[in-house]
Amino acid sequence: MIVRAFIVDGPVTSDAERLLLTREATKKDPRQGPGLVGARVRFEGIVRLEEPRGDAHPGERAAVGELAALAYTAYEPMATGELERIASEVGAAFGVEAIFVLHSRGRVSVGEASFVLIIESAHRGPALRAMSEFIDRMKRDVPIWKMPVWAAKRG
Amino acid sequence: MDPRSDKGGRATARTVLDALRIQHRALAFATDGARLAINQRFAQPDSEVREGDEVALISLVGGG
Repeated sequence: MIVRAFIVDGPVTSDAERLLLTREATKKDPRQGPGLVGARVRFEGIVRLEEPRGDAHPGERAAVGELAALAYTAYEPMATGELERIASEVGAAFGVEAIFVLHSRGRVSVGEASFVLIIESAHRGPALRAMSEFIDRMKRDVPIWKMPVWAAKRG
Repeated sequence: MDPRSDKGGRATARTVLDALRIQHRALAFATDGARLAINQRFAQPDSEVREGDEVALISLVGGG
């Protein structure tokens, strides 16, 4: 199984993703060549315009604010290490062939991608299930934090 | 007893976290629900902290 995880500065762009996949394709074990992988599932996390504000009082429904961006910080190299560890454990549990992860550090504007996860497996089922499990564990265990950068008030 | 060590005189992830909570109450926003990492790996409560270890307070994370 192939596992690769990278923290990139700024948004995860299609160029960064293409570079990773192209580079990894050249390194693949010949036994993992064409024919083994029948499903490639890709998830992209995108910064939304609205985010609950954290200044609501207990019992109050959190107000929603308008974002300009999210600013991500990562505790490195633990963040990359945890992404790889989770990918290895989830990949082994579901029997997938490869997991590639790209996560942002720094500012990511609304509409841009902060996270891309690609999972390859022989059939779609394991890849789809592994995807959900990976994301749940990442949100619980990877030392990456996001801070809202609020949009300037209109008018 | 020194809050930074357990009954056996060892500093552990639990005793370090307890000491932070007791001695630095202003950090409550960060210590509530937080975990410790020792040398870049999440620690179990009874994991020993030795001289020279890198100890990190990992508050609730939020990647993705």
